[in-house]
Amino acid sequence: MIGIGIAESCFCPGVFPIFVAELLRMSLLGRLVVGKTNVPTLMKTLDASMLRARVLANNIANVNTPGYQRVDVSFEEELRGALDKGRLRGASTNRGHMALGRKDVSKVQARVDRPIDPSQPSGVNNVDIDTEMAKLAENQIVYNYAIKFSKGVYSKLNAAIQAKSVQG
Amino acid sequence: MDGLFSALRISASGLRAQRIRQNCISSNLANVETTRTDEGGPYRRQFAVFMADSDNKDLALVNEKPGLGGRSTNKGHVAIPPRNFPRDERFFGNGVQVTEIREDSRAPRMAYDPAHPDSDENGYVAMPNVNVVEEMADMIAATRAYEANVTAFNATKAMLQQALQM
Repeated sequence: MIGIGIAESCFCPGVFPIFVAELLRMSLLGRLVVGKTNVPTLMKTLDASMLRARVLANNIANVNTPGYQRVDVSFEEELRGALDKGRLRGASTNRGHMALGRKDVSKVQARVDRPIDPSQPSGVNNVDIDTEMAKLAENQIVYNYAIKFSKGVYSKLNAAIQAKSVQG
Repeated sequence: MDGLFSALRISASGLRAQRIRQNCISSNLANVETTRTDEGGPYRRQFAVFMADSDNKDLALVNEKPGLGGRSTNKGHVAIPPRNFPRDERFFGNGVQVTEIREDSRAPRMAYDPAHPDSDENGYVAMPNVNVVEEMADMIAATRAYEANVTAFNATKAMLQQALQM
């Protein structure tokens, strides 16, 4: 999909088609090998986790800053919606089609937002250090889990390619 | 701010801010009885002012709704990239920065000590406006905040090391 976008916005038709074909081929091959596994979901989880690490580090760094409002990442709800097989999804067979129903996992994005807490007066630093530390530990475990899981998927793929017995 | 090590840089900015705060507290405690300074008069309590370091450009990106991208149907069209492409980079906050070291404007503490060379005609000496108990409490807060930043730093470091082993 990225390759097509580049092809349309390009002004020098000589060099780019080769590059675009290469990109397309790679992404097709990549999609064939890992597309049916859990790897795309895991990659999204890793992205969201790393973003959350930055956000939490920022909240902790500003624990004594007057007036700072904490920042959070919303990702899990959107991912849950995308993984819910009970919801219908419209198939797009044309580039002009709009997405309908359940989102594709590749379209799920981690978002940064400032949660509004009505119990706190505005202008007061609402960073709770204990909550942030708990979230930090949780985030680290989620990240390590996703890494471990993708390691397992890759070793299984590798075993399948080499026609070996699957271990782990 | 983006990239692999931005979380580490954010934590480092927190560490730096708390260390500067700790330096101010140490200075206040060391000068708790200082009656003479270069500016004249007793020493005045110093404290660091923190400000959240944020990028206004990033803030605008976060608050704006994702826009539609232009589709070029003709070779002469200028491409309009979809606005929601690098969503992951939509992040505001670059940690914390120390904007200034302020001097406390509270009145000096008057202590009765006629033998002191800086005493006035009534025998009172203008002592620094440093409250030792307040400084101690502030020091504990600074230490805890520093430790929290160290923990965040180590958590990020462990995550990056895990990623290298994939």
